[in-house]
Amino acid sequence: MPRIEVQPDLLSAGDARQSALAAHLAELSTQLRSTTADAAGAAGDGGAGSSIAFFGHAWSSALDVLADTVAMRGSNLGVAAGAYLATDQAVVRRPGP
Amino acid sequence: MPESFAGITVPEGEAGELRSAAKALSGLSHDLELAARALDNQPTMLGGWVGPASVAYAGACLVSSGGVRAGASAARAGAGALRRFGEGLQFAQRDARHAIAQARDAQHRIDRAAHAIADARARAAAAAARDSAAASKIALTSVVGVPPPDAVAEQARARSDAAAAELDGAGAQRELEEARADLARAKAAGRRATEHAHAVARAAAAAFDAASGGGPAAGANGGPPSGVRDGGWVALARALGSPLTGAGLALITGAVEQNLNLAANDLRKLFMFQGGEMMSGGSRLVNGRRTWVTRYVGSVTEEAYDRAMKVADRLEKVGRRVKFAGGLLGVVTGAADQYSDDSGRKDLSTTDKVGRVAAIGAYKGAVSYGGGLVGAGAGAAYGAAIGSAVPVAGTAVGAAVGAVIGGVIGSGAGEFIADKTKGIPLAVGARAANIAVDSAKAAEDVVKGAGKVLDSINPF
Repeated sequence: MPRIEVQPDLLSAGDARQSALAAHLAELSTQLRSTTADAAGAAGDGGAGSSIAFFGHAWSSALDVLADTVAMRGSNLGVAAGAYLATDQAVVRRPGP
Repeated sequence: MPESFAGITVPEGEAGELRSAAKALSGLSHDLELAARALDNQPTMLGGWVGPASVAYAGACLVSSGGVRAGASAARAGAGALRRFGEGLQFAQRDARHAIAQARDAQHRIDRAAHAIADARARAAAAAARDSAAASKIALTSVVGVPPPDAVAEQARARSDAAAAELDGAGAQRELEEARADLARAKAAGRRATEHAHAVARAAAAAFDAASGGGPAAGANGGPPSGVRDGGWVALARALGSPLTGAGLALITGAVEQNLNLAANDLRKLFMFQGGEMMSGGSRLVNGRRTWVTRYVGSVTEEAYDRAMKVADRLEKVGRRVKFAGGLLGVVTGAADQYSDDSGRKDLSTTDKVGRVAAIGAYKGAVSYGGGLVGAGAGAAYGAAIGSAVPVAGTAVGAAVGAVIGGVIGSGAGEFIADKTKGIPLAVGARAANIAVDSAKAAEDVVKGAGKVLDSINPF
């Protein structure tokens, strides 16, 4: 079994940071979608509008997926922090031989 | 409705909004880059966390930051494409409006000259009538003695007026011809402005298509799917070893067509810039740099511009023919491969073999060829976008490298798909051949069989 060291409170803080990053990514995704929609509308009849709109849709969808991934990872971090603590406390409470 | 006159139309689009969107995308790119760095730093902010989970966590953070960074890169590329599009559209709209103003002026002069010609003709006719009347009076009075002085004077005035009218008419005719020539030039300038607007729109579309294709998947997953990537390298080895496979042909003809198209676009764009400058009487160079056009052509003339447009059209036509020939050969060689595989088999009848060759050969050849073309197209556009930092040469080299890599990946994916799905055409092809030979009644069965096959692959 490999060595394990952990500071659960730092994991909990990491959870909060990942959640904030995920929210920020989701916000950037919304901005990207809105900006490219505006640009597609301003592109005129040269055929570039559909390419710009597709670009915006594709990348904002990808960023949404990334945001979800980061949020889930943060949540996992929080769960791990709780599990480490619970395990440690269970060992402390266990009656001796 | 866009502003329009004499067949000249100001290209549609909001150049200012495009430039604003470019700035916004550039800012987004910066923010995404910061987010990627923040993700990079996450594993270092958890103190002395040691263990298998910490390693997995660090790896996952890096994969995500890679995806976000790819998004930043795409947004940066999109910002550049939008900025160039906005600038090009603004130039094209400016040139079209200038051409419309020139055309309106020319049309006004045409109308004025036509009016002056009609007026001169009317004055000449009136003077001729007066001349004739005076001449009659002189002729009548000449029998009895001296012609009346007033008739002689009137005849002289009438002839003088006729001469003046003729002079005015000739001047108006010259002005009419000049105005008509100016109108033709204005229309040509308007046409060039429209072509320029289309060219910048096509370039923007290609840049966005390139930034969309493969990027999001690569970003979200930290790289292209390994199956496709491996298949691409396998396809490259196959293509290099045996160029006359569907994949090899797609690789080669796709790259040739893409490069010919890009060369044609470059040629058009360069001459359009030059044409625009020529029309406005300036001598500035493309992007402030001397290009191969200015080196070999010097000052661009209307004739040189027309020749360049024709050459560009021919380049595209040759590219289309190369692609078509490649597709045809891909299907034929795909069929030949299948025949080679089946020819020694004792368990297949001749009819089976014919059906299998017709179905699987054509299917596999066409699918791998199609995959190669799609890949080559996306790759060339992506490579050209990267290489466009160095005008013309960079674009061409980037496109060539991109087309080859894209073609390899695409054809590998195409072959992969063809291999995985070849059971369908194999079954249908062999069965169809047997049925065609056996009887008309069996034809009904194959229709039902094909329907089941189609039902089985229909995801809806």
